[in-house]
Amino acid sequence: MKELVIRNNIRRLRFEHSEMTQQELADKVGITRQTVIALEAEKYVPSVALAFRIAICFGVPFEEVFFVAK
Amino acid sequence: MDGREANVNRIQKISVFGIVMGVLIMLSLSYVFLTLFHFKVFLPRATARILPLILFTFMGLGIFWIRKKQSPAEPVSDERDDNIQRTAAVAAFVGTLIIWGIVLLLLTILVGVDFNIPLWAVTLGSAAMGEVALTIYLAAILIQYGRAG
Repeated sequence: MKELVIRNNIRRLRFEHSEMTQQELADKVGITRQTVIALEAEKYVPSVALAFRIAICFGVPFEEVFFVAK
Repeated sequence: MDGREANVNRIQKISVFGIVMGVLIMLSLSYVFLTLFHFKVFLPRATARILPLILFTFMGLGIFWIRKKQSPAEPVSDERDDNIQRTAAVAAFVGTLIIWGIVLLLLTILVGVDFNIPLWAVTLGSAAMGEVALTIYLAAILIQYGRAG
């Protein structure tokens, strides 16, 4: 089975939300800034719970933050 | 606050501190053991005073550095940190077993199976393997952060 490549729009969403810093996002969702960096670089795929916390933080549907690359 | 800045999180700090502290303690202990048991002389009085002072000063500075947060809300660790630590623990376990096996094999080849070793050597060897396991664990943590940022 082909492995799914999960991508995200976190960086874009941060800038659309009053240019939120990585540290502000990290503090809001309870993670470290290094994890935000890894998420934005798509070197780390978060758990479902963390992915939902990020979507809730931005006030957008889950699929607007995370999606499967075609 | 964007991009790959030099800031590191608490787990990375603990790993760096642990490795440096481990090396310092091993060097100090080697010096003390060599002086006392190999050269069979007492430590110079100045060294006996300065060595612990250096170690404790470094330890104090390290703890201060580790406790300094990137932000007041920074968690001690998050899910990614926990994953990294779990993988590092497995790496340390496997790495230590491999090194232990190599050491036993080399000893068997070099001195044979009937060679006796004193109890203090077993104690020191166990301590050394503990230090090896800890170093592999901390290095594995840093390597994983290094790869993924």
